[in-house]
Amino acid sequence: MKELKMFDQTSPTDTSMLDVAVGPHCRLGSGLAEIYQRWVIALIPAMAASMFIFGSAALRIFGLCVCFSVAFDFISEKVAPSRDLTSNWSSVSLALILAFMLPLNAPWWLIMIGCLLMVIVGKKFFGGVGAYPVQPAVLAVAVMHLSWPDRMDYTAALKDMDWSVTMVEPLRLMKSIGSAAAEQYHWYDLLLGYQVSGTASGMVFFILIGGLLLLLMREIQWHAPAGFLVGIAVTAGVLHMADPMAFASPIFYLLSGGTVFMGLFLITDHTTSPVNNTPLFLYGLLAGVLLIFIRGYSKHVDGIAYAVLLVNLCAPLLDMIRPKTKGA
Amino acid sequence: MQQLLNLFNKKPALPRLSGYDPVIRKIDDPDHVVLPLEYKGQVHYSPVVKAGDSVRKGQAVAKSRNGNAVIASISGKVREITTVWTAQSVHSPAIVIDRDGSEPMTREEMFDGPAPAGDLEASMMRLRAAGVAPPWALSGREWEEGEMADLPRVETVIITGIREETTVLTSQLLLDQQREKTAEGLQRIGKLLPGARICMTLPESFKSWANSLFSELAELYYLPESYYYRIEREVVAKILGRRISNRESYRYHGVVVLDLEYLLAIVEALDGRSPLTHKCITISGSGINEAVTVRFPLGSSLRHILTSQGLEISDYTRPVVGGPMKGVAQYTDQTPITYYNGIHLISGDIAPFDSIAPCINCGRCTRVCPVDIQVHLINRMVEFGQMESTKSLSPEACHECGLCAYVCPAQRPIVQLLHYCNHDMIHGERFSWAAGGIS
Repeated sequence: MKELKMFDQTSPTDTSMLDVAVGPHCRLGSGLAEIYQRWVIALIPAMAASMFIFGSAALRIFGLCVCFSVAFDFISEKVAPSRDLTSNWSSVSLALILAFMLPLNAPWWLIMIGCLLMVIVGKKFFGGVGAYPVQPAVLAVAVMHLSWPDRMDYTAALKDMDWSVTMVEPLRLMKSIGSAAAEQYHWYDLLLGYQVSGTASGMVFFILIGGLLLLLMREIQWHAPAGFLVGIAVTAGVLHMADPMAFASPIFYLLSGGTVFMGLFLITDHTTSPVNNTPLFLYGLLAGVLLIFIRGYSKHVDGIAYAVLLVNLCAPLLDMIRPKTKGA
Repeated sequence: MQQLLNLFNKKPALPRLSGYDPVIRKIDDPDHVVLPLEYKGQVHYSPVVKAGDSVRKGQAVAKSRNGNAVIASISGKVREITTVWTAQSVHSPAIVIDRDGSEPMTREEMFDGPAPAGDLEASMMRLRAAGVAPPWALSGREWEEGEMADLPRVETVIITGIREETTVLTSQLLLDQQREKTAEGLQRIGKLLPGARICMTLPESFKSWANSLFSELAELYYLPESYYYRIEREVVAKILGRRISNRESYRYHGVVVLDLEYLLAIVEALDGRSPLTHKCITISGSGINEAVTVRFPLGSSLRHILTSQGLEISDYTRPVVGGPMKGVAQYTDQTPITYYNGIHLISGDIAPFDSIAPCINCGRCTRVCPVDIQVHLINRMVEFGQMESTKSLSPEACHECGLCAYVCPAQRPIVQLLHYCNHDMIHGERFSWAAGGIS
């Protein structure tokens, strides 16, 4: 049949503009910006609470973080063009996550270095959004914790404030006086954010609202936070029973510091977490166990940064637990 | 505000039709029809007419080795025997017939009365001669004489009273409007294949009346209005209780999947009323508030079908033959339409995919995959050329339903990446997974 002449299928009207795309011909997604805008939406309740409590000081942290991050992202895109475009909002969402964990009195240069570490080292060096092995904001916080421990001191940052609660980081007080520290704080103060912690990482109730928004938008799965909760409750419960003097109850661990922030916003970052349900639960469980051990047995006060970094590195291993493909 | 609320909605498995016209419209015969003779992995036909011959509607113009026929759908003169690109981008031989308005063949000329009941051989010959067992009606290719004997007996017949694409309404409209004839067809199938299991899929909304009418004749499977639950291979796997590999034809496993439209055509042919010359197709898409279903002569061009409904191809940027998920976009409106069930028209500048978007490992693709492929891993492995690593993840289970690319927030070309991977693994030089291939 090959020698036969082709039937003239071209049409008299101009159909050269017809678009020969491949299926599927309809799409739900509209770009990465949508995803990271949702994360920013989920961060808004805690940001609002922080600005209500701290006023313009918190606004300064958020503003500087976002400005520096976007600027670094834009410059690095110009210097080394990659597929990670500034317009995808990932630097904004990461900048806010970083700002949540900074102390309120962080100087501008510290914020700048933090953003540099986060955007250039944590994100761009590894290949941009979607390719980083550990959450970049957490990486930046960990580096700053080790390099400028005095500047990253939450207790010193809030020494001029007086909320008629003990103005010491709950976990730091517990480090020095043991589980008796738990009696110094009311659970409702801890819940509403009247505790010494980062700019917004201690706004437990408002972070819970944000996490709920993420869950409702189907941005994160419930498995990781659930596993995290179980991990904390079991580990802290066992340690508390074994040594009630040194270890407080699980509730105290949950409400103090950035625990809830870690469970809902840091470990659930989809790039650095597994995808399937079982490994996701195990991942959360491991994060909870690691967090309590770091808090209990290391010199770090609020070990969320290290717990997140360690558990992020386990994610590829956990991703090997996967359901059997049907019809394979 | 609505956009804000939409953030929290459960995402639909596919956009639904806003509405549809339940009447199946008839359209006029076109100036010419083009009858392609070859389909992907199916029976090959040879023309039995020459250029210049006069043919009449109902006359066989091409035959396969086993006597399957392609029937002229209009009366006229054979202009030429040539080649065309079919809607599925197969370069196929084809017969072009110009209309001259002469009389169609009468029923007596075509058939000598109803086929003798109970005689399987005679019935099959009748179906073949009437074009009801053309390449597209029974899955599988042209079997060699020896192979025919080796084929397993047909044990399961699955009649699709509902098509997988949510925009295609042909089967469900015909089922609703021709209930008695469907029941008749089910009986005929039962007589032709004694002992075979006869199953039929139906829309859930038909439950109220269909149970009483069909439950004696077939096992009924009601499918919800969602593409996810209607994907053909998944439905077949659910009905059979086991899976047929993507590479293998249903026929090797004694399974036949038959469109309801062919069931009705079988009744017509066995009764000696008419051969298969017409087919229904649903037109949907942007700007069409009510999807329209038309009955057209086989081989009409896409343009003829659209102009008959007052639609202009110049209003659209992407005419898709099939549904929005699995359909094939056409580069011209002269494509001959034969066994397809839907036309989906897209207007405006819609990017097919974002070729540079990075994967952010959000996992939506893996969670939506009906066969649990680890899409989030495979698509990146293929992107970076690590084909070897995909081997343990069995990408060959993919039946390219398109759901992963549909949900991908980065709009990555996931289906194409998987297809490329499978193609390279099977047809490529580096690896060889299995003999044969997926089409």
